[in-house]
Amino acid sequence: MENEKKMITLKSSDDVTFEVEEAVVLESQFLSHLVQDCPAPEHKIKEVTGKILSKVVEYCEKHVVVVVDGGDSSSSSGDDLKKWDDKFIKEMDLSTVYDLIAAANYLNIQALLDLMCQRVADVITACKDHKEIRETLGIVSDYTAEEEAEVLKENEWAFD
Amino acid sequence: MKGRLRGCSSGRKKKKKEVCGGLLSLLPDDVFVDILAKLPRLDLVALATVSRRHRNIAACHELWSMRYRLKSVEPYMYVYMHMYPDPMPTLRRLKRIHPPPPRSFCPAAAPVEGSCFVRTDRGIYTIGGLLMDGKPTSGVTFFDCIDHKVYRVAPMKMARSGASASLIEERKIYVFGGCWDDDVTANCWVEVYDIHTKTWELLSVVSMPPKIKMPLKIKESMTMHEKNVYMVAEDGEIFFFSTSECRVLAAGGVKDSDPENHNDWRLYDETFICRGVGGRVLWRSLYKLGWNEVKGLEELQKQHIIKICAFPPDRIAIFWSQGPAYQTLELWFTEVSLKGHWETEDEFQLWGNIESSAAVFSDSSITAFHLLYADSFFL
Repeated sequence: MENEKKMITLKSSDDVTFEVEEAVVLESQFLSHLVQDCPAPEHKIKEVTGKILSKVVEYCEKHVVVVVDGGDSSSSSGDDLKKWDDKFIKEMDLSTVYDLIAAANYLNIQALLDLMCQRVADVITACKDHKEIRETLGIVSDYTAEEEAEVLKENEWAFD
Repeated sequence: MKGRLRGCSSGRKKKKKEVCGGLLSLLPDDVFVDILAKLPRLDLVALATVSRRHRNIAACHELWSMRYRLKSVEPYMYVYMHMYPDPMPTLRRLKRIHPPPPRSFCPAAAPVEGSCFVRTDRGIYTIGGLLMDGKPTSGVTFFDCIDHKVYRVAPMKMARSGASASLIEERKIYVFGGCWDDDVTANCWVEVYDIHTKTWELLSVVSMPPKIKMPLKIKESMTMHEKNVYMVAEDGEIFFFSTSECRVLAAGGVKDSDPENHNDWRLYDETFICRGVGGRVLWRSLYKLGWNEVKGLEELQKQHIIKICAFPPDRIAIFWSQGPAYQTLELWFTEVSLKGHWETEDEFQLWGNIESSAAVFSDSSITAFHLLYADSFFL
């Protein structure tokens, strides 16, 4: 059954356009409401750049729920999807990860948000100490030297 | 935390220095909590040393309730242990798997005996007890398992030792008995601490039948059906306390058969578990007085069981030491899962299965140890 699929165009903040099936858009709670409330063929998403939106679209297209014959809905098989997710995040630098977190949060795509948060959590876990966490995540400490010494002493128990 | 990172830092553009800078800081707090909810607990501690903002978020209640919700927590055992010849008991953390040598970290002077303990999701209240001079204290402290600090809590209205305490509805701590004054009246027998308002209040209780003698020392108290407390006095007499009516009910003089040899009572739904003698773990129904042995744990009968405690959701933790034939004092920990089984149509038995067993502590420099308290926490 080759039904005509409804297509929707998304336009990023820097005017990059993406033409996607409606089902892909429905992965995002925010966009679902948007296309329901305002049935225009094109939607501008001012908060997300083309670079990030392309990643979001890529993710959603992979994860879209496909309706198979008989009406059961299922997504690509779990293992394959997981492998795909792993590859998807491995290729990304951290600043893209942050932007994707912000975009997933804004567009309300929970699974993507979870995946990206897990990536940051894994990066933190891989650090050997607080200095490495700072360096990797680009955080500047707001502790004074005395405060830092005190906090370190307080938390000594965790690192024996 | 080991292993190197793959090119994350090298490719990143250095931002202009700003307080607590970095792109990560542009994310709203609630998203940040999403990230931290996925971290192992000890990495959270490392993160707290990164900056003030990270420390605040790592300890916030939203984060911890999310970690519980996502089951992103691991079990840890905390024990309160007196090791002789140390003058005072100290708190220790034992990791359940591959235990590292536990380190003591409790800087607060703690009573040597007579304290009662109440656990919340986050930590342990130590209530009353005997001070070094042998006098009871009204002092209360709270050990926070998340930041590993001891906090002084408002003292009770009465000094108490040998009291017993129960947590009701996750916010009120009821402390029963343990008053040493001769004129112990029904008016100071129980007092309650509100964790939210941080205040103590003495309650005046009504007893059924009227004018019964309130037990001075409560051996065990357990929360039953959320709002009631099941109590066993030192002499084995059983009482019920209703927190909604503030009423004590003496169970018509019903007594536990051998209170001295039934210790560390735990209530699982409608089944009591307790530590018997001779390396036995016992159980009985909430409604029947007779104790039965938990089957399947015969291996432990050669050992000296020191303490049992709950290991949620349906396991128990057993602490034991090896017999005197061994030179070094060793504390062992065994995790047991429990399963009920109808042997015949009207004979029910509780079976224990040993899931794991390991020595968690051994030290040749100590002469003896006393385990005052042990409980498991999901952190």
